[in-house]
Amino acid sequence: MIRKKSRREESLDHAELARLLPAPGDPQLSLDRHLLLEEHLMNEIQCTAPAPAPAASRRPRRALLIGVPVTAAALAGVFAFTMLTGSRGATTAATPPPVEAPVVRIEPGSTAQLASTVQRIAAAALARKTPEPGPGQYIYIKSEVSYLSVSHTDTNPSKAMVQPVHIRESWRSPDGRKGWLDEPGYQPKGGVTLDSDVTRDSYNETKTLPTDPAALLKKIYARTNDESDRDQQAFTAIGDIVIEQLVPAGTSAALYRAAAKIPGVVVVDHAKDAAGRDGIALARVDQQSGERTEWIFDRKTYAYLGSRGVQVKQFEDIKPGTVIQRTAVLQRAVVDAEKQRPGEQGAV
Amino acid sequence: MDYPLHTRIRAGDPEAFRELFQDHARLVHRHAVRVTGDWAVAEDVVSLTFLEAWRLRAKLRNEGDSLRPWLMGIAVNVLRNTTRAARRHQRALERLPAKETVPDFADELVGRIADADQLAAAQRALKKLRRSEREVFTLCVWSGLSYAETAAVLGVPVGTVRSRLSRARKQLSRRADEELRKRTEPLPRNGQVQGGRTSAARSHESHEESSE
Repeated sequence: MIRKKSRREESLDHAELARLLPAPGDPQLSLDRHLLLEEHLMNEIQCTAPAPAPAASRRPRRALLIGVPVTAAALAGVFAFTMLTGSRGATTAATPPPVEAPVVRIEPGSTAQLASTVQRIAAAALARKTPEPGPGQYIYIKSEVSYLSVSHTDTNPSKAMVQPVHIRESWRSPDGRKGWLDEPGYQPKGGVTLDSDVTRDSYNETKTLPTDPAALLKKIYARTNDESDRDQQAFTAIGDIVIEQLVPAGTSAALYRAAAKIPGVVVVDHAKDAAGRDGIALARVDQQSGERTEWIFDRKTYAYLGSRGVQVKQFEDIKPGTVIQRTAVLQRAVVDAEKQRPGEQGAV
Repeated sequence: MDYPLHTRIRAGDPEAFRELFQDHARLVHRHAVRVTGDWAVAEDVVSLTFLEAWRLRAKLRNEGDSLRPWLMGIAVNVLRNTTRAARRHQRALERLPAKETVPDFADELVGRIADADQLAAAQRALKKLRRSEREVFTLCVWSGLSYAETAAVLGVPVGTVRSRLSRARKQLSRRADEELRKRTEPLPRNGQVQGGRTSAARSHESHEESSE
């Protein structure tokens, strides 16, 4: 093995070499340009961000929110360029302006009905026939969503702004390696790839999870770390799997049963999904952010409808009762090709 | 859940890119100003580097703890062919806020003018090196990357970094001697104009981006 040259020797070399050329000066990127370029980058990539499963983006969005007033102030007077975003049109469909987040009465959560509710949800999940995607096929999920608006340049930074409810369609291969996301106005025109070498939470990997709730929960907790509340992490991890995926019936039932064992999980009697459908929810408050994430189920069939995030405690400028995100699954299917919709040729 | 930054970058988490930008934009910028000798182009290079990082995020591997070599490797590629990168991200560049003509601080302006002369002189000397030597020189000597990091940036063995540097050293020493001999002549005035936005990196042609 070659002996590694020490950093000290290297820097001696460098000093000698540096003298061979005129000094290149010490050009500094000024703070205002730094902020502008950062802002520009964030605007560009947010148009094309895969907007992963809501849970994956929850923590970052929270951090972003804290940054809003500061950055917005720093950028006062340079709004012009963001106004152009989207209106140039050719690669990104026009992004509709954000709207004020709805504020609802906070429905209390309770554990009184937890056991019986989860029992019904799990039974319904087991009884449901889910299509089995084969190799080469894709899981198609069509939903309506509204997330917290990530633009720093909202005209009123003291109001929580959300995206208007809009359609989102995703295609994922069962192994999680291939995928496509179409979300007009929020993704480049025609959509964006979800190809990835991160295969966790893919259909195939979810299928290998234990169907015994206790064993499953153990596995879920093994994914958590001590950087924040482990119970919340476990709840979020299950949400990641459930919210925008196709889950085999047995695993799906076990996931709900496991979730019910997480301390702090409650039943909320009334919650509306992004499509305006009222249902009963399993929910948990993230004590750190004060946001309650609700998984909403049909009151009669106990089928999963969608999710909602409600601020239950004041956070920065966000009032309690503010609905900061909503989703609604409209359709889950297996199709033969990426970008193919059910009912189109070859679809199952 | 808290994933390591590598994972979050691969997964396309925008906030991970904000962190990446905050940690490395200055390094990329300083490097680009020194290599191009042009402040306006350097800003485009910064934007293009991070847009390319975004585009190529899935290719990031878990090698090493630092993201610096990966990012600087992208910056080097952008610097090699800024026009091509600019064409790929043409629309994004169009949305880039125009450079203000008046900097905030008078000090900064004075600093820039002083720097501009230095930069121009360094530029002329740098241009006499071969590209491969120039890249190693600017990465190691000017931007302070270690041999190992530079090797990772350029995708060459560490030994190659050393041999290129030593070739650069020979070249530069020889030139320095020549310069000394003809020091009697005044240096030609270099017309670096600050504040004017160079459109070198911008492609105003309307052809479609070629996908790779």
